[in-house]
Amino acid sequence: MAWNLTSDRPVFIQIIEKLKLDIITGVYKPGDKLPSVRDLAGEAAVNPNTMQRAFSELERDGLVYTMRTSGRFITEDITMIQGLKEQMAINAIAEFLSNMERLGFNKEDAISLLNETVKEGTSCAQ
Amino acid sequence: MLGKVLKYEFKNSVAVMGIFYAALVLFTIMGCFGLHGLQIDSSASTPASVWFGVLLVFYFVGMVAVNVVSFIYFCKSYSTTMYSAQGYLTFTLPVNPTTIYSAKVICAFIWMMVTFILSGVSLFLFIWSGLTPEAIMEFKTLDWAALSQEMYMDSGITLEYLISLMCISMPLSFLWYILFIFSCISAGQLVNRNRMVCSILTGVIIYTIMEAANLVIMAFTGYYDYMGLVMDSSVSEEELMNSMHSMLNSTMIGSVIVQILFLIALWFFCCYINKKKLNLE
Amino acid sequence: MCTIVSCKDLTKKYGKKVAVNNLNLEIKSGHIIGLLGPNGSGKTTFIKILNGLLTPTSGELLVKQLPVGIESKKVISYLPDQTYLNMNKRVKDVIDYFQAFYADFDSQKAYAMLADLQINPGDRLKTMSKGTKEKVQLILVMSRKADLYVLDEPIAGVDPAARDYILRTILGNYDSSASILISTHLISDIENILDQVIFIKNGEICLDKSVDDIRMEENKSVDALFREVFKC
Repeated sequence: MAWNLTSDRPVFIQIIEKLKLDIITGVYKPGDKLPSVRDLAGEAAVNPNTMQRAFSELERDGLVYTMRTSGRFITEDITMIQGLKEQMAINAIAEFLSNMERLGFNKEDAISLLNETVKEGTSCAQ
Repeated sequence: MLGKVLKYEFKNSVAVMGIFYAALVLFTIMGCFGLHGLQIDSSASTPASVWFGVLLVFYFVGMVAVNVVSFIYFCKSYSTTMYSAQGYLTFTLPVNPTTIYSAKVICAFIWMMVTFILSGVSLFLFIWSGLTPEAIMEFKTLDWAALSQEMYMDSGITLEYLISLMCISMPLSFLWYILFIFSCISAGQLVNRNRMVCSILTGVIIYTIMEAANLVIMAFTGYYDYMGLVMDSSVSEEELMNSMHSMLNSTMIGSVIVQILFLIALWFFCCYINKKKLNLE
Repeated sequence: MCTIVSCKDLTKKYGKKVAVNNLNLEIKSGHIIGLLGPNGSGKTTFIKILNGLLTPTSGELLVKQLPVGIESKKVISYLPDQTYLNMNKRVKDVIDYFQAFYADFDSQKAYAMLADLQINPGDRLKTMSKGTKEKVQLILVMSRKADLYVLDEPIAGVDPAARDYILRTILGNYDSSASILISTHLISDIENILDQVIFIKNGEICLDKSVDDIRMEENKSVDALFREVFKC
């Protein structure tokens, strides 16, 4: 997956989000070995210190753990990953609702519009 | 470190010097050919002799040109490698600027000496090729000792002394030209605009001081006293002769010493500029 | 982590004009730092002093606790903002030259990078385009195992594809014991690889922060902040 880093938010936060997405979508499966800080930093064209900071945060959250000499691995705790998935879905929904509110739709109108759109399929979506 | 820097200095200049020496060989051949041609036809002034004459001119002009142009090449090379964009490379090398400067001076000096010696060889070949068998005979039987004695009677210096003095002063004057122009170039880079003007100004100043020093030497060694004696009609021939002998001797030695002192001063001047007053654009 | 460069009250005056005014900064190892400022802000003067090409009027600049001199030149690899090589030489001659004078120069690495960029080492520099010359110069600088790389406008004259290669090369040279100081105007291109930026204006430092802090506190990119701070 391509690294689309925007310039207005700290890079390490964007990296964390992308890695979390990769974990949820299965790009990195539970127990997989993560590439080294250098390699991933080179791929993303970011400062290795920044990549290191992102890794440390993920480690703190427990999504990633370090094996002394072998490197970094994705957690095998499937429940945690599920929880993360749900949390990210909830965040996406909250964002949707707040966007709709900015357009002038309250929550009920937003939900009914959502159901209508789903029923008529993606051909309606412009 | 100096050895390494010298090695690269020579590497950089050997191709250009090769071209100059090839030209020198060419000019020498032209000269010998021209001389030979003129000698065969020495009485008549046929159109061919004009061409031979032209070859001779080419030879002399070419010889001078090779020496002058190679000197200019070294000055240009110094200016370019030290103070133009290439200076960024030269002065960020982990080498003492004094070492770099010394290497450039030594390299230029050696090449100039080689050029001079080769020019001398060329001139010798030229003359030798033009000598008739009688002239060669006369040359071989020349009494050097008598010539030397005669010279001593005239000027108070023997031939041997003159030659040894020339052997010291020729290299010294090459070194002088090199250090003088290098100093002007180094001084020129001190300013941001009108570098050429600053260089020329420095040259004028150094030259003036040098001339003043020479005048002082001449006064000290009795040149003016000698001139006074010449004017005085009561002084005998022999006294005049002795006075002139001692005067010439001390003047020559005096000017050599002055030149050496100047060389040392100029060397320190450039080293100081290169170490403390670098002003790359 | 150690301090590679420490600069105390560094001042450089040209007569009445002050190019660098009581500059105080520290460069620690393991960072990629951006030195940003408009033309005439004192960036180039500072870089020249750091590389021993100018002597300061007053103040102190130490490289690994030593004053600027032969020892500091051994550990700093400098890429100037212009072509500084002899154009009549071939690339391999220049590599040979660097190998002779810099103990930390890796010629194999240099040849590998030349091959990556499809540059023929047997070519003479004067036959190359401006962009290619700049790539060659960068390769020479990055082939050294220095403690501090000082790059003055490394990507300015180069096409976007080569820019990516150069940025990847810079990242590849990253070592936690070394630092890279980049002076440039093309901020948005290199922002992501910087972890610290220094803004310099009229010979003085007006900002010295990490990129993350800037983005978090100002909610904008370094490029945007630069435009704000240095508005004409």
